Amino acid sequence: MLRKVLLILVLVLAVLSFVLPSVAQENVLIMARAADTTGLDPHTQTAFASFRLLELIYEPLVNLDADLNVIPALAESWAFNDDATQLTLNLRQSVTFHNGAAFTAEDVVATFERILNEETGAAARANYLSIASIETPDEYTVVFNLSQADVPLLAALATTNAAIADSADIESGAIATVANGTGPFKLDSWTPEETTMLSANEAWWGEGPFVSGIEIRIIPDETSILAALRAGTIDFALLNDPLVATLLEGDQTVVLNRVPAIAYHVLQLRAVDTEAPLGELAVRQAISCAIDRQEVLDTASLGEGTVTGPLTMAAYALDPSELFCYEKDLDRARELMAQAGYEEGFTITVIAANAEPPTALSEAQSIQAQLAEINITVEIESLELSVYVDRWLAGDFQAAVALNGGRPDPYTMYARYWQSTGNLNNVAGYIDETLDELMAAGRAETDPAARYEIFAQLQRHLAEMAPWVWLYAGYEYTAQQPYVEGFVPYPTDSLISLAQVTLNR
Amino acid sequence: MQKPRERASLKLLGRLLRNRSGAVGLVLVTFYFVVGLLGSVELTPHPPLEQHPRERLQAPSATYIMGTDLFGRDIASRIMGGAANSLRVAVFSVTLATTLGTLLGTLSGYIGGTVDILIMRVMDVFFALPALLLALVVVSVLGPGINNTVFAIATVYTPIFARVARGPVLTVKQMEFVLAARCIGAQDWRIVLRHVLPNTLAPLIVQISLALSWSLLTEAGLSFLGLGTQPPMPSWGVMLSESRGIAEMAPWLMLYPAAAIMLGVLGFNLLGDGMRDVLDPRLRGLR
Repeated sequence: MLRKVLLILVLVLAVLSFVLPSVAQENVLIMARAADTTGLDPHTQTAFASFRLLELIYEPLVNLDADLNVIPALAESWAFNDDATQLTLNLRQSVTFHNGAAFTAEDVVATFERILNEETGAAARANYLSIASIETPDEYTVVFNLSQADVPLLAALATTNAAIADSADIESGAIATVANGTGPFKLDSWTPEETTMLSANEAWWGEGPFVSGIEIRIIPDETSILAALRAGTIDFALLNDPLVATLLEGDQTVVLNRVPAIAYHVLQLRAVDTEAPLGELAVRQAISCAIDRQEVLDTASLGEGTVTGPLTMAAYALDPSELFCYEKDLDRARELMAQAGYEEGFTITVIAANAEPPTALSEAQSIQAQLAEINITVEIESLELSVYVDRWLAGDFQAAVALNGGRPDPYTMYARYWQSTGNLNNVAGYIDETLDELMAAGRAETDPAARYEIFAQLQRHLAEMAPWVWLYAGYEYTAQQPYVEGFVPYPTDSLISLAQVTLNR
Repeated sequence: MQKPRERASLKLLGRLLRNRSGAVGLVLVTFYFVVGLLGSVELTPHPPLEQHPRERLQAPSATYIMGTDLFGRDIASRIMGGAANSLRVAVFSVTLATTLGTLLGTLSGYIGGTVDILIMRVMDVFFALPALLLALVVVSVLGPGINNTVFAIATVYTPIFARVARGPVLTVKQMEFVLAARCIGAQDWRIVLRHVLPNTLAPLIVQISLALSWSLLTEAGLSFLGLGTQPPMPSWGVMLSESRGIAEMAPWLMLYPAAAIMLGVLGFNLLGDGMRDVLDPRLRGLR
């Protein structure tokens, strides 16, 4: 009902923008997406939708490029000491915040003090716990002294959750309500669930932006976004539903951008749940052997993606065929079930969020049909997203179909789940000494080849222990009119290249 | 003993068939019941839940006369399963609503006074809320699922039956034959059951037919929103919602469930209209 009302509102606004010519500006990029940001505080946001707005306004010290390499942002250069216990960053000079205040090392210190303060509830705090103290030898140098060797820290800085804010805003608490960053776009107005207006930051240090602003419209139904693209009323759109995105393939008038995502679709089994047979290794392995991952991918996403192991980023991903039971093997699955004493099967309940991701219920149904072949009855409990997230975070489920975000570094991606001290270890529901050791080793190792080997071992171990059944990684989609030039799609779905976009209508 | 009544109902059926909307409605509803019954005993071309992964999104063909969905499930079988499902929900919820509503309405009308005011004002409160919205509230409190859907729909339509039952009771209880029954010492429950209720039957029957169409629509609506029947169980609303993203690629996914809902609702509405024409003494003889 609410969605419908919103849709009508957006449509009315769209009509109004035709009627009032002064509203429509020539060089403004009009963008549509289905979900709005959930807030303006960069450090506490967890929703993908929030990042897509705040990363245009705020900047972290370093960023990731389209190949997930760390590139300079507010820090121009950086260096670890030899044993990776100290990270020195040289900051970019003559950068100003949107309110005119100068950016200095003081802002970096204030930002990280805020993030590390437990009361802030910063989303990425766990990634920075190795920071023991911060020194500022001069206005444009920051030194992080680390309590232990922590190589992944650098890549972990490349997130909007560690964006640098003005120290004055942090002190006054205005950071929660005012978007005052250093990024390429300034926030002019934000009407939640309706429209967001951004204007170009002329003083930005980088090249661009080449558009005078961005108007973001929230259109909750992706098929309506598709229609708006085809009608030419919007220039650029974010799409989540692969089924909607595939409709644009071969479309002559609209350009679809597709890039392999590092977020992964996964069936999570809670091994610690003693009521269910999932605590038995053989049962989890049987489930892993019984599921044809390609079939789940074909059914739920029309084949839009690739079957994946635990690590999805190109630099660390393994060929799935070398992982435990990635080929469907029903005989082996039945044997394993018999070995665990469950030939007769059992019943488990799988939770799935209603529409986020849009493929969740289809994945659950495909898994349900496949597990029936080894006598496992799967009951699907479809939940509203907010209820799903609450129960997921509380570990209140037997099994879950989930879409989890990926990170460029394997340690940052999985420490929260697979280290027994990780803040989401209860969600993962599985504790294993080998994993703890491998995680610690991967964190301290500086040699890339040795790190690759450690994390390859981690993946093989995870696939064999099957606390989760990794299914596939899809694509991140954006769609645009042909006259929008210069946009580079990122595997993290980041929109930062909108700063380089030009409109040649 | 039964003869005259049998003859009367046959006569009624004949009149219904001569009424154009009644006849069309009756045919549609009969068809719907037959399909639903076949679906509920699983006499479908394929099992409605069976997935054929290699044959997903097939256009209608000889094997799959209405095509297949994302999972390679047969749409025709799922339509039949969906008919059974909506039939089940509709019959149970309307039975519940009719029983409860008639009871409340009769009590209200027959006893009158404070009881009447109390019951009817509570019903008014329920009436003030739009049906689908009220059903949504009930289901979101109880949680999704087929039993809760039945309960939600029953809650929504009980007030209508209460009102429909109360009106005739108010008139009938003043009539001479009721007074006569009371004079010879008949007890209240006997008066209500033998003399009052039978005379409120005509409007109730019309109402039941209309309520069946609403409950069919409400079930589809709730399922469409993900709060009614849960996948993978076949339901027309679920099928519609699953087809939404890919209707352009596979229009048969949307076409058939939509047609099924439309014909089902149309059937019950026409039947209701026809019954009203036939049962309303004021309209008799006009056609």
